Amino acid sequence: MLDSVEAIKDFVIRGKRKEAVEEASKAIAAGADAAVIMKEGLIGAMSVVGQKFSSGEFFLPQMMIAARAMTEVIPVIKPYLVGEAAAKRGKAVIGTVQGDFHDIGKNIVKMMLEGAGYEVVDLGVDVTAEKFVDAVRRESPDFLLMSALITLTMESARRTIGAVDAAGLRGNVRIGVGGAPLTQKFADEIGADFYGADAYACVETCNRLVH
Amino acid sequence: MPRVTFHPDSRSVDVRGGERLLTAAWKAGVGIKSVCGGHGKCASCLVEVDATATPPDALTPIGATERELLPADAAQRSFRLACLCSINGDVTLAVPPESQAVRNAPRKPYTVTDVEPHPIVSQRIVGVPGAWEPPLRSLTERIAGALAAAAGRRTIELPVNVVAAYSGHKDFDSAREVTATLHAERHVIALTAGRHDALYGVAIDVGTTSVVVFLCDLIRGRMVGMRTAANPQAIFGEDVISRMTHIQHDPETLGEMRRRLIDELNTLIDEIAREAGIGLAAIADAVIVGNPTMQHILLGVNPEPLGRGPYLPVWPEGVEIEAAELGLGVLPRARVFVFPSIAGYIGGDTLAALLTRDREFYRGSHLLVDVGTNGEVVLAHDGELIATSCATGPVYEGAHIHCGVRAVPGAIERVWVEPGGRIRHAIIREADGKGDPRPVGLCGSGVISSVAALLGAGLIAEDGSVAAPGFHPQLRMANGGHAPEILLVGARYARTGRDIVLTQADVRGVQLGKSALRTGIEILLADRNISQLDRVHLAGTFGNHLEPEDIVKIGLVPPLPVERIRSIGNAAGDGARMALFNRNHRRRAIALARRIRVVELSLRDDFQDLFVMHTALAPAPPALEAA
Repeated sequence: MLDSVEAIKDFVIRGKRKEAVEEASKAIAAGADAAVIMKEGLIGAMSVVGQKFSSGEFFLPQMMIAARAMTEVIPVIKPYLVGEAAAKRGKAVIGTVQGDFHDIGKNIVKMMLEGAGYEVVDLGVDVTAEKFVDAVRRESPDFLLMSALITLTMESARRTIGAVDAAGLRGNVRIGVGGAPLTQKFADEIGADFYGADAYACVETCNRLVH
Repeated sequence: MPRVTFHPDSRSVDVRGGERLLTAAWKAGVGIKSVCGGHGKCASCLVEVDATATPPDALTPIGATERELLPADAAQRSFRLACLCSINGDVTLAVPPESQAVRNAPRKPYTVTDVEPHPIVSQRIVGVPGAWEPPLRSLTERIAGALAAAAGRRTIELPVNVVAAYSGHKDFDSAREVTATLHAERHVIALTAGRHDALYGVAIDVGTTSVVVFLCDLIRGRMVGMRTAANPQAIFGEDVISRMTHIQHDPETLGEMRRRLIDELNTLIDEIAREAGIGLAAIADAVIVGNPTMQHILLGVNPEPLGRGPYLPVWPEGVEIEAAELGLGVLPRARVFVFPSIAGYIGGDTLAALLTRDREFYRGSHLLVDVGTNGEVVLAHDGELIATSCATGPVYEGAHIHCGVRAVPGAIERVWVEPGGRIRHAIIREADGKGDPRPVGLCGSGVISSVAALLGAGLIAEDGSVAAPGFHPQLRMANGGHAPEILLVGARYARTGRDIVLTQADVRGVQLGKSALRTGIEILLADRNISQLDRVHLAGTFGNHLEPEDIVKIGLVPPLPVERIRSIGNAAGDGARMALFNRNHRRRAIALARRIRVVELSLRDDFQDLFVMHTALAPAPPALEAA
């Protein structure tokens, strides 16, 4: 069983979708614990991929294919998750800020969050403060995650946080921001709860905060 | 008030306590690189504090962000980042060469283009009837009448400010012969007593980094002189986004940027005119091209909406504006033509570059590529024109690169690997061929050249990963042992006294820039359903300095024989001169602006996959799916 989980993890890291799905199906058929595959195989793989990306060993293509391989394994094991493992770890609303159409980073965060067991509501690109506020009201998420890739649109993140505060919804949601031009300093300045230096760091922070 | 002194310029400025060091530099007129716009992200504003002349508490202590960004040897050498420290007392510091924002002239600023002269301004010499000749008429009426008769027109527009300027001359009332300068044959823009035949104009190319002014003789259809300078707005950031951000934070900055630009243009015009012995009043026409942001700022229009989706210009049209209103120091009533802006990043400079292309461009499939901080791409196929812009980022200008510098003397512009494995380089030399032969860093073409060379030698893989130490003696681990880097020039052979390296992050930056451009090209090709290109026309000074082999090798353009890649120089400046010499080209530019269809990349579903796939450093990257 552990060999099989190791194999799934390895296939996911290398972005081998077909092999990862096949291996997971075999493991499930052989009676493997879906929760272990999830935790050791998928989440474990994502943490390796995240570290490799942070160090520069992996780049966008490797990150992307690994995240895709992971999202394809999830439906295979999901029906077999029971009890605590089946429960969603948390819920996140995600989108790029108003005026920003760059969503590759956001999409990677989304896939990694799903792999880590979160329910993700994706609002897409160019999301206005109002749309974020509506989504927070409607979905009652644990996290509101925004990305901005141009210096000019960083201000939209500030506006959204202001709007969430003004709507009195801040008590229930933690706000995280990320994107190339952002910094911890800027995140502090606009009153975000946290800053994700990259996709992996963002997921890690969510994991820490959700408990 | 604390005083800050900047070397090597030896400029000083008094500032309020608590002022940021970078802001003090702006106030002193000292150009310090700030690639990220002073947001504490890029470490390009590195300065060296003179510890012997600066009390230890004159600057705020190094904070966590600054410590992280500072180079490892910063502590010994009192390096600071100008955007992250504030002033409490008198400071003396040096701006090292790699941090200086002083921009060089384009290395090949223009190419000669033959244009049939057909200027929009003309001169007409008329005999003016005396005051006592019946019917008794005012001087203005007599001049206007004589001009209208000579031109065979019913009326001619002779505005009061032109008459006012003329009436300031001695003997204006007794002149029997008057030379009138006309715009479009019907608007009088200048009157002079006597016979004259001197008609000049300026063509101006306003780039984000540098500005070029060409003074041209409109009668003889030839260039009289040219001058270039750094765009003085550089103190507000290196790229258009940083400048927009400044305006976003403080709308007053727009006026400041506009003034600085106009002042610089006037200085250049004045210098060339003086050298050529031409009076400023003889410069009766001007054409200005720039990217949309530069054109907006020049016209005093807030460019901010250009920088965010949906990237629309505020003012899209080509426009004539009086020189006096613009503040341009030529004939005050000259009507300056400013080119149209089509989309967020496609403006007058791209249109002007297109003007230089002849009919051949519109047959078959031709691609015009202008690479700078941003990449503009125009595809002509079967007579249709489609265009897009790509966020190539600043790597092509040597910015955001660990050892990146502008294309200044001392910058490494070419790197190659000898068969034995030795890594060699060539630098940009001083104009006189002398000067310090030691390199200062890598300029944009040096970055591309080294990536292509190291790719060929196996030090960099197609996926962009740098090989592990052991493969080559100049590979080593850096970044706390996390990522490999390539030592290009050792500290003792470098002018900076520090190693010149190409880091893993540098290569990743090149990959992002490369992919942005290539993805833009691929989407245009897909839009027209073609895969083959007859020719690639590379505009911009950067294009002049890239080896076609390197461009193809790293996959910046789709695979094609290198002889089909043609460098066309500063096509924007050439096109601006064409529009100055010949009014028909202004009409062509306006028609082209209407004809070009803009494809917005980020709105396309296939963008993400294409972008990720084309980060590979290969002519034809492998498909994204590993399975």
